[in-house]
Amino acid sequence: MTTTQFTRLMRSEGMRGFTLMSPTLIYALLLLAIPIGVIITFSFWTQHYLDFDTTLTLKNYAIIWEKPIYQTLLFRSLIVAGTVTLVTVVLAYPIAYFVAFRVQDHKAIWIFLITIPFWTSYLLRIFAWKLVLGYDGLINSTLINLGLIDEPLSFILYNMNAVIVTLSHAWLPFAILPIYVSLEKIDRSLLEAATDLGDKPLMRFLRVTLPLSLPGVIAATLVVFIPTVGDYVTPKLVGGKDGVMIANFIQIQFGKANNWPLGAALAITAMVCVTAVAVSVAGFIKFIGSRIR
Amino acid sequence: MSAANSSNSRPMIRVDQVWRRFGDFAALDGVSLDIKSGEFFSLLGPSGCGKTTLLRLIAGFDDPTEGEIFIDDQPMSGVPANRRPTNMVFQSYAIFPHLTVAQNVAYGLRRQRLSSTERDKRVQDSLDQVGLGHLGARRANELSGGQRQRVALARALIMRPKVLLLDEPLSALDKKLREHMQVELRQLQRQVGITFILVTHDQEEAVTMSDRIAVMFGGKIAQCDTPEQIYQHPKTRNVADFIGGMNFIEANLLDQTNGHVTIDSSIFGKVQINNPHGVTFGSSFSVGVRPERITLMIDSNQEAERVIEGRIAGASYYGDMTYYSVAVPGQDEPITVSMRNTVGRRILAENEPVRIGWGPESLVPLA
Repeated sequence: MTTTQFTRLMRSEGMRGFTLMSPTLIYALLLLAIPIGVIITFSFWTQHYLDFDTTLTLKNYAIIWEKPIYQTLLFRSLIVAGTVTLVTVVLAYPIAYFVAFRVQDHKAIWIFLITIPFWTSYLLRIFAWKLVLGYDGLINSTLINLGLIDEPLSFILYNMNAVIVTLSHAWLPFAILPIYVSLEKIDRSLLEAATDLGDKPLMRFLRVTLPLSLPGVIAATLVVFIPTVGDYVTPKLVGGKDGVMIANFIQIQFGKANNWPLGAALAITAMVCVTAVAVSVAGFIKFIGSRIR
Repeated sequence: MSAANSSNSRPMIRVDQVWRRFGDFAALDGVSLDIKSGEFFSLLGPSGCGKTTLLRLIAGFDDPTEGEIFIDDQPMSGVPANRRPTNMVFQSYAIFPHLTVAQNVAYGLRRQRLSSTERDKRVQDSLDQVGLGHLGARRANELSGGQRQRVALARALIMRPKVLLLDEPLSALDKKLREHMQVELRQLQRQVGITFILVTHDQEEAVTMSDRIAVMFGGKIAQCDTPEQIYQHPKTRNVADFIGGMNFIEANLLDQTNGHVTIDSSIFGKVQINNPHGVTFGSSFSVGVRPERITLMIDSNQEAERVIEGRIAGASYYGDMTYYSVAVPGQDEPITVSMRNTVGRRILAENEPVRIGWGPESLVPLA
């Protein structure tokens, strides 16, 4: 390639775009595409004490398919994540609605307040929840002192409920923000038009506001659902033995159990399931939206 | 005008001493107004004059601080927007982006519990009426500006309102389409025969479309009359300045008797002019004259009873017309005179001496 050809190439529209993206592109390639490639490769290998048998095999996937423990764990993870998503989105919507439609001045302050939980490390927040939900925790001691219960409630910590409560609290801001943005974007004259054409406030909400905010709801759903399926810190700290999720098991395979290929196969399986569920849920919400007249 | 006169002339809308205050600021300052049934009525004024506020009060999107609005003799305070016999065409058109054209038009019919065939028929009729019969299945975001405007019209008219409110409906369209839609809206109004209230800041739009116009400044109605009356006999300097071009001439008020005022001006001399509104003028008095009501006498043998001598100070060429500014001794601002560009008429050069012919009937006294 001559120098002029090279300069011309570098100046072309497409090349400029790539140049602009390249730091992110390289970063994503190094830290996302390559690791996923490695994990996929691992999942077809076999652990042989300290070495890997690099003969390609589907044995790991067969184990996952045959042993019910993996399916139970995966299913439980999806249920927990689904519940967390539902709780978060249902709680986030009214808050986002309030800030978008009812707050007149200083919206930035409200958004700022919503993000305050992020100022504390996630681990500290989990420990805080342990203090609230624990055997001698805030809730139990309060209820006992008030004489409402005789002995501490045990169903609030070290089980699925605790995982759901802690995760919902942690992910709430992530759900509020996309819903807020989609509500804020709605042209207010559309709402006036709906009223002008005879709709009462509830009908107007169902026919105009809700369908137009669905992109935000879908974004919030994905943003909360996808990471929570794979969360392992929360179940480990507040989940007890009933709250174990798939990610905890994956971690064990890479750690104590020392079976990286099985861990990799579990990770891939979880990823495929999450993608399938996420796509169908987003599609379903969209479909419901398109049925509204 | 025929539409307004042919139907009975009881007021469809009565605005009675309406105030709308925002803190210390009065957006509407004690406005009273009667709008007749079947009338094409315009609220005209610069931005911030209160015209949109008044329209929103009629629609029910906002409540008066004081006063009452009657629609068809019913007081409207406490009646929410969704139960008023009015429908609105919004400035932004407010077409629901998640619905098709037909679904947009059918939106308000839901409460009427029509059979689906009846509903589809009414939607189709309504779309046909605005010339969009073939576009029912389109998505709203696939429409041009003009088409969106027609959808907004169809969606409002299908409700068969007693009053159709139009909030600057043509301001987003280009000039050609706007002029076309002016004619079409006027025809549509005659055809359906309901009261239209148009809010606009475009004086040309108001003059060409309306039966009557209320010109508003600072939350008050400065003048409410037919377009012709407002153009020929504006009451105040503001109105005269807002509608069409107007030369303002410094003059002293010598005498005002019933129907006449006598003025003294350095360029017109001492002259008696008509005062058709019978206004009693105070200290703020001026005399106006429209550019087309005075003539440039370009041939030296042309004669007129009253003549002012001046020099061409500048010319703006508009194709069919040329607007000359003529510097006249005794008047600070040059006087604008319009001249039709008929066959063989040349454009006058700067500094050329000219004579302006005028008569007292061209002069308008302004408060």
